[in-house]
Amino acid sequence: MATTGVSLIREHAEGMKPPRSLFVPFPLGRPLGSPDQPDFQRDVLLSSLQLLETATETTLADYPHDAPTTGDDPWACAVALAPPEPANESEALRDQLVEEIRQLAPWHAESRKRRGRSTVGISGATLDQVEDLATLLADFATGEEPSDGEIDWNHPMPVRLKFASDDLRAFYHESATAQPGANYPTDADLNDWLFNQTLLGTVLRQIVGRMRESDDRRVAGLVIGMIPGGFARAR
Amino acid sequence: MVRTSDMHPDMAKNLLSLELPEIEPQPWIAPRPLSEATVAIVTTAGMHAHDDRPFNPGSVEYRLIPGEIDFADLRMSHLSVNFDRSGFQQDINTVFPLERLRELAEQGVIGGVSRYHYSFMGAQPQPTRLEKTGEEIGRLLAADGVTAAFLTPV
Repeated sequence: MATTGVSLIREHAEGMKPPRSLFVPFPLGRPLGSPDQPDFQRDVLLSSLQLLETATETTLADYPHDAPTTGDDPWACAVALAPPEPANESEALRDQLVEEIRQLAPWHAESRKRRGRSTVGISGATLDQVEDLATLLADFATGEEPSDGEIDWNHPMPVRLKFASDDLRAFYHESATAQPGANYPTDADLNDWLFNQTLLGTVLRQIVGRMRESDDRRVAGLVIGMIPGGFARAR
Repeated sequence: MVRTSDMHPDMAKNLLSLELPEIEPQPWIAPRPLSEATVAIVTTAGMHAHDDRPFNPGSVEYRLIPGEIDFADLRMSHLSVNFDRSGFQQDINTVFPLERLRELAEQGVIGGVSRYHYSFMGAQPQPTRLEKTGEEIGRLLAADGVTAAFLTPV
């Protein structure tokens, strides 16, 4: 089987020497460049496939273009969330988080209408159960024993916390990127918004703090899967 | 421009400190012309159909992605938190360029698109553990008449 492909970390491709690979200078997670840029994506794909015709020995080529961006204006979420101080009681924290989710919900409905889909659901929660994810996270963040609730979970505790967090982050991202003029925020824009301007970001940090203190190695081991590098501390 | 030199120093240090497996050079395969090639996508993005099993950390199995899959049925249960998911959330092709591949086939640039595509869990602490499943995928692709695989990380 002849193979070609793209590489996001040039040093790894240099070390492992796949037969044909195209190094692309794009953020991790975006091997084809940018969303909703079909011409650009097709060019990246074709540039890699063409190595099947041109390469006669192990080849690591460099894609010459950066991924397209929306321009010079800084991205900002159109819903101005003003996160309150997180409550210490599970129920109160849950209510605050649900309130934040409800502020974003109309934009999530727009996202589903426009894209015809949502990537929320890897925890096992349906879109109707997004608020129940807030219960799990609020319980753990405040030291309560999380209850199973109504969700048909795909994972047991504590791994469930990671995928519940990923589902809520997906809900926030899909909502924020459905707003007019917000088509192409970068990964850093969205992380900066979520971890510095939303209650969810504060709650996720609170959860990671509890995980670090846990005597259970399975819980402590999840820390690396919760918050992207560089956002572990509030700005 | 995003290179390791542009990344957060902690992340770059972590990525560059990973031990890379020693991979024996394999015999060179001279592929068919692109216009005759049938191409499959093989991704390590931890993607799968919504009703398929989510990946567990360190999973070495594959998930089958049928070529006619509705993008609304695709999910990503990758463990790593250190890559952007928002591109995938907005447009699946940012990670899994199936629609772009179909367009290249319609234009006659490539011969065709595979009936099946395959997904693995990336961020493997020991990538060589994927060898057996990788060989299995190779056999399946060849038996299905696929002549080239497009490999994409996330």
